[in-house]
Amino acid sequence: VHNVETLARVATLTGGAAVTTQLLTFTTPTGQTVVERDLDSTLAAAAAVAGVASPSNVLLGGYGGTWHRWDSVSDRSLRSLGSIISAGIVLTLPRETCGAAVTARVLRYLAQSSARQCGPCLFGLADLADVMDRVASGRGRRGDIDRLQSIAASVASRGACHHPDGAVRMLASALDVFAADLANHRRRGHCGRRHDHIVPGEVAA
Amino acid sequence: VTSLELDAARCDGVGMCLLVAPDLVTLDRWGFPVIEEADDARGLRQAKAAARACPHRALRLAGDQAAGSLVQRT
Repeated sequence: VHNVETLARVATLTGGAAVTTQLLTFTTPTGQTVVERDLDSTLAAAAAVAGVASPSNVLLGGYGGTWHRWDSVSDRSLRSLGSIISAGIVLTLPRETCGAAVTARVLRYLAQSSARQCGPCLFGLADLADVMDRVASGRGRRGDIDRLQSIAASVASRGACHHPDGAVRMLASALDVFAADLANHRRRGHCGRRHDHIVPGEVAA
Repeated sequence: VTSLELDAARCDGVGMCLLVAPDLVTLDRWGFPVIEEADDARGLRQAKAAARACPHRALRLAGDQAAGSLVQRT
């Protein structure tokens, strides 16, 4: 990916220097902050430098990455999180924000980003976004979580590229990390958290 | 083992493969093919027929038989 972080890293490598740092792009509802930290520093320390308040959960590795409980990754070094952090894009979920709602919006964004070349991606990501959207907005139907898993299984590894694989990987981690929120949506229609979180890149409907 | 290689970006879900290769092809919930393997002459016949029948040439023979002199249209 030719983002600024990658190109900066290539320049460093070309100069013969050893890579001892990681560039991280912290993404919050109010904007993005790029920080460069030593590979031995923790994710929590990097977040503090970026001025990001301690979140409840975090999406590591971009929209095709994986959700983690903040407490399970915050004290780990950037080096040990390497392959999970991937390109260094970190979406932090504020404590007052609903993870199911954010997941629905990320899924919608990924569906809209489909190159529309392969059926399972073109139709599958849209179906996943539809189901996740109604679950997150309290209109979920019986069996919707199983339905999400079943649709995801029909999408995984079926595209000519790995865009849909990233989407189902992100979804699988969301179903795990936000299991309690999702259960609340099912029982009470709402989790009590905010649903107005804007996902960067999102196209207004 | 005979199988079919699917170019998912070419496939539009027309469904000719299901008609000519019912032992090798099932359709997913959107009508796009999921390919199974076969290891008999009947499977090979069906695989060749499916590769020929696809209007978008999204299927080609894969597996042991693909390297031989068999009809392989890509």
